[in-house]
Amino acid sequence: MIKKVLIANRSEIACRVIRACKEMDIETVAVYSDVDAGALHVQLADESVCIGAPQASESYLNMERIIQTAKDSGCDAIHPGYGFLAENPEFNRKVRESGLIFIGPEPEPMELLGSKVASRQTMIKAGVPVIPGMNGASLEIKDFEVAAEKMGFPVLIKASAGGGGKGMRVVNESSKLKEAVESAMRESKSAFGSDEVFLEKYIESPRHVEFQVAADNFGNAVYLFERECSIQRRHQKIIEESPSPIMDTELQRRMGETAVKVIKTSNYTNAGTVEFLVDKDKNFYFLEVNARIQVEHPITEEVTGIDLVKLQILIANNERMPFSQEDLKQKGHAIECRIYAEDAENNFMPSSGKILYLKEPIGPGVRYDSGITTGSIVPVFYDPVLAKLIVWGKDREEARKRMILALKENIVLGVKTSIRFMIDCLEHPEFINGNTFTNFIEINMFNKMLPVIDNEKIKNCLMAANLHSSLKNKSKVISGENGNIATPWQTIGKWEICSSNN
Amino acid sequence: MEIKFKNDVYQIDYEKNDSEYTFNINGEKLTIPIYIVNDNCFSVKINGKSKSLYAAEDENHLFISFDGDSLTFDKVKEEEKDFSGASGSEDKDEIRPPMPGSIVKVLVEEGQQVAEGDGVIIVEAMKMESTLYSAIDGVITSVNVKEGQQVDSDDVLVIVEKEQV
Repeated sequence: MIKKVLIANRSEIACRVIRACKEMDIETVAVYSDVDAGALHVQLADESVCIGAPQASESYLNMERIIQTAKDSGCDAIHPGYGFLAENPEFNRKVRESGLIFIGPEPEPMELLGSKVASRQTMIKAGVPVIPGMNGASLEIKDFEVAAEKMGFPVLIKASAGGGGKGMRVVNESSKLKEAVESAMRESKSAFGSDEVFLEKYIESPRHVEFQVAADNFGNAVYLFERECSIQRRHQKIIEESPSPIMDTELQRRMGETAVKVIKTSNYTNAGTVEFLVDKDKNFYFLEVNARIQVEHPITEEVTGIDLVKLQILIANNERMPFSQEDLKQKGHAIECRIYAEDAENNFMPSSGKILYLKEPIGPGVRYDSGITTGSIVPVFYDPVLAKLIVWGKDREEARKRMILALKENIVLGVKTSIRFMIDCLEHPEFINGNTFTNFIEINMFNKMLPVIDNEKIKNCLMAANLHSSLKNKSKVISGENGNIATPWQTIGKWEICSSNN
Repeated sequence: MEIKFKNDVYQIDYEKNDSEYTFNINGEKLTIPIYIVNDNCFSVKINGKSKSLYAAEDENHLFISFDGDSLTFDKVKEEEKDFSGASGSEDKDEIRPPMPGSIVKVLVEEGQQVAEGDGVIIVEAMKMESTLYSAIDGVITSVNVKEGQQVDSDDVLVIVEKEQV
C-alpha cells in the first residue's frame, strides 16, 4: 500500500494531488526549485525538499534528483502530475527500477503513445479511425513538401513528442511550408528535446472531443465520458466542458467504446485521455492519448462524482476498478476556465510577476483548483497556469451563467489574465448555441482581442487607483481646493481621516 | 497624482467629505460615495448601483479590477515628467522583448531596410516562440543580441530608425 508520495510537479496540479493524498491518509512530499520556496504546493505538503535552480532542467526535470529525494524521504511512490516528466518513459522506468511506484501507466504503452507516429500506426492496424496524414517521421523538408501537396493544403505540422500545442503550425500554402516546418522543429526541440515533426490534413471547423478512460491491472477498462475542449488559443485549450454540446447517446457509446479499444490495444493502465477530432457530420478521428492526469480532469469529476486522482492512486496500489461501465453516469454540466497569467490583448503572451491581490470566487457549484495565493510569485520559467475555475450546473446554461459570475468574482491583480476574454467567449451567441469549433477564437473573438474600454470604466478605475495609491502612500495625498501640494501637517491630518473605520 | 493608461496621461486627485469623495480627473469633478472595505477593495455606488473596485500596486504600476475587466496603469515618475512625449518617438523603434526569455533567431542585420510590420527577431519565453515586429518603416541601426542569448524585458534587442531624407 502506498503510504507516502512525492509529487514531482508544482502549482495547481501539485496542490490537487496533495489534497487527494491527504484525504487518503497518505503522506506527501513536495519538491520545489529555488524560486518556488514560497509556492502554495510547498505550503500544503507534509514535507518539502528544494531540488535545484529555477530552470526546469535543473529542478522539475531532474530525474535523478527527484528519485533520490523520494528515496531519501521514505516515499514509496511518485505522482508526476502533468507536464514536466509526466509522460517521459525514461523517468517512468527509472522510478520503477529504483523500487518506487510510478502513479501512471507502464513505460511501454507510454512510449508507444508518446510517439504520435507510432501510436497512429498501431491505431490504424486496430481499426481505429485516424486523420489522413504523413506516415512515419521525417526530417527532410522535401518529404514534407511532397506529402503536403498530396494531401492538399491546409496542412497541420505537429511535433511527434508534442502536446499542449507546442511545435504545432497550420500552413495554408506551399510557400509558407519550409519556414513553418523549421520553426516547429525549433520549438519542439526546445520544449521536448526532439525536433521530430510530421504533417497531417487539417480538418476545418472540427471539435476537440476527448474521452477520459481508466484501466486497472486486471483487464477492467472503462470510459468516464467526454470533455469538449474546442475553445483554444495558440492550439492550447482555455475553456472546456462536459458533456459536449453535440453529444448524443449513440455517438457517446461509439466514441467511448473506441476509446476503451485504444487503451486496450496499447495495454494501457491507470487513468488517461483519448483525444478525438469530431467533424460537422459527427465523424470522429483518433488524435492521441494523453498518458497522464489532464489539466481539465475536474469537469469529469464534477459530472461523474469520481475523484480521478484518488482513482489513479488506487490503481497504482494494484486494486481493482471500484465500478463498472454500467455504474457510471453523467450528471449535469461542468465548465472549466483556465486562469493563465497571459495577455489576451497581446496574442496571449505569457505574463509573469507577483500576485499582489487574489480573491477566489465562491458560490454554489464553484470549485477553484489553484496554485497561487496573494503574494505568490509567477516565475518566467514555467507554464503560466495560475488556477482553474470549475463550475457545475444542472444544465449547460446554468453552468455557463455560473461561470460568468464566478469569473467576475475572481480578482487577480499583479499579472495579466484572460478573465475578461473568457467572459466574452462565454457570452458570445455562438458559444451559447454550442457552436464550439477549434477555430472559435479565430473566427468569433478576433475583433475582441483589443477590447474597447469605455471612458466611464477608465474613470472609475482611475478613482480606485488614486484612492489606493493614497492609502498606500500616506504622504502623497494632495489636499486643498486649489490643488496645492499638502504640507506634512495637512497630509497627516488627511491620512487619519481616510484610515479611520468609517 | 499623475498616471498613464496606454498612451493617455491623467492628472487626478481627490477630497473626502464624510463618505463621499470628490475626484478631480483632468479638471473634471466627480463625486461618488465610497466605502473602503480594505486597502485593496472599495465598495462604490455608481449611478445608484453597487460595484466593487479592487486595486493593488507595485513599484511601477497600479492594477485595478472592475466588473470583470482588469486595467493596468503606469505610474508617472517624477523624472519622466519633464520628458513626456520624448520616449514615444515615431522616428525610432527600440524593440524590447515582452518578458525575459531567450533569442531564437535574429531575422535582420544592421543596415537592412525594414517595413512596418516586418518580423525582426524571434524570442522564446515560457517555451513559446514569438516574433517581434518593427513598428515603423526604416533601417536597422543596431542589433544588440545574438541567437541563444538570454535577455531581460528591459533590454533593447534591435533598433529601427527612420531614414533621414
